[in-house]
Amino acid sequence: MASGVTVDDNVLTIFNDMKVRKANVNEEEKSKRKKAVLFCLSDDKKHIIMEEGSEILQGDEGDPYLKFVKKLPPNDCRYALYDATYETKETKKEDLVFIFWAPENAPLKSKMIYASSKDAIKKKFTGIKHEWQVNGLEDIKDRKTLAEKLGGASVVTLEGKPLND
Amino acid sequence: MGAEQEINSGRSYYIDTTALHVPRAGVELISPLKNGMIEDWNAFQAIIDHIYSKHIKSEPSLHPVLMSEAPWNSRAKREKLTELIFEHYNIPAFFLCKTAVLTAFANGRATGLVLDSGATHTTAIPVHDGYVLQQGIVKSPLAGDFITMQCRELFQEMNIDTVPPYMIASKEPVREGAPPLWTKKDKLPPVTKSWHTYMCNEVIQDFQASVLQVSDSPYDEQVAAQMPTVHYEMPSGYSTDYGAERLRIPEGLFDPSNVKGLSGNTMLGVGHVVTTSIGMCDIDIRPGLYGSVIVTGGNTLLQGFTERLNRELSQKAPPSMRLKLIACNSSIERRFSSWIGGSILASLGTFQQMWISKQEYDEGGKQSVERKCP
Repeated sequence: MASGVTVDDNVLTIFNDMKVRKANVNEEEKSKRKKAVLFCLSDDKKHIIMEEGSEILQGDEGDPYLKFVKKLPPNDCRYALYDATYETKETKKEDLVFIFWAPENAPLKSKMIYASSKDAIKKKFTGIKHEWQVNGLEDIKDRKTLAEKLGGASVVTLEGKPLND
Repeated sequence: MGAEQEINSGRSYYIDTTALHVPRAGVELISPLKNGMIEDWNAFQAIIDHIYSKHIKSEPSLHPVLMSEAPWNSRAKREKLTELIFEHYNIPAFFLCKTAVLTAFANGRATGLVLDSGATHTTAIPVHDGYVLQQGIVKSPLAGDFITMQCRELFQEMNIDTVPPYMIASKEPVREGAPPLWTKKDKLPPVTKSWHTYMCNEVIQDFQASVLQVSDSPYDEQVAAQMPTVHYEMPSGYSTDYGAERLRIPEGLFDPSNVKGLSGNTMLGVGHVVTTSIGMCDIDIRPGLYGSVIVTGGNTLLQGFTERLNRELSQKAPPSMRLKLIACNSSIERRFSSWIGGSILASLGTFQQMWISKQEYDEGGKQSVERKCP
């Protein structure tokens, strides 16, 4: 069941850019690619758009996951695309995760609109393998949950950091 | 759901709380719903007419209508409702939403297990990405009305008369445990049994909400005997303290095995209703369901209900499963979450294109509802 909210073309462009990976090997270009980005509702509540200033680039300093969590508003909902880098015992992998962030403190109206529009944005993200519905700061801070979603019990590090810290 | 009354000859309806509480001769108390779906269409129409004339005070043809429905509503009933709405009421646009989906969305989730415990049913409805997984719906009749019946039996055993206020002209204060002293109103009309029972049930429901408590671990007689007692006064003036019964009665919701009058072991406790429902869904989505168990419905407001449910689920769920129960603190939200969700949806600018318009109904017929309101 949907709300009728539409997805901006820009959103799809961003998704496609993040999806295409191995094509650019040039370090400079790689560092400009997005590591994480947030999407929100436009002011008139009719479209889903990219949130200004929410991008974290691959080349940025510091722990990208922590930075990403800090960008999430504590009292409002968002959608996010996060390009996770993780390692299992055998390989190192990168996968896109679609995150639906709806904290308990968000206003009911916001929760209702974002939840009923989730289908619209998710449909645009064809081929995405991982989706995460998160409703609180303690849940999203827990890297183990994300790691389990990505590769189950075999994941040993996330963003270069071992999980059992 | 509003109960209303009718006179057997000539079919007159008395609708809404105020009218309902007036004692009248020969007036039965009925509900248009059965099993969560519309059964008595005449009564339902009477309620809708009443709503438009007394509450909305406007023409039906001027306003779109969004209705919520039980997740297990039959196709035939949905189509019949659509037909009634467009043909009889000339409503300009219509939409039908499943209660569980509205509740999940109102709680910021597109995926979750909605546990709805109301008066007539306790139901577990798995919602995934905004769609109800019909094969996973599990229903149990152990809900508010069952508790009311158990309380009724308790009062019969204790010889306490649940005299409803409509009969009482005056009463005097009496010592605790002493027989009540009240005078009956004279010239009361000969009311029907169904109406009188409903009035008594209201008294019992107030007792139910104020006195009962769900034990946080399986009921134990010795532990229950230590519980602090709660004082309660009946409308008749009779008052006493209640102790172990406070815990014993609602235990039937979670552990029906010892309840008198229930046939065999066929009934599921609330915990099992949830785990059975999740167990009927694809194994890959179960973590998503256990991680978002949304508790809704008036019966869940019983003191201790959610704590006990949390305990039951953490014991019954697979060991490594992350469990999270969501239960609104506000009693309004807990009882009306689907209405609240629906009201927000219907007011969204973007939703206006989602309605079934009168034109679409004229072209596509009542089958449009299956297509446009999945």
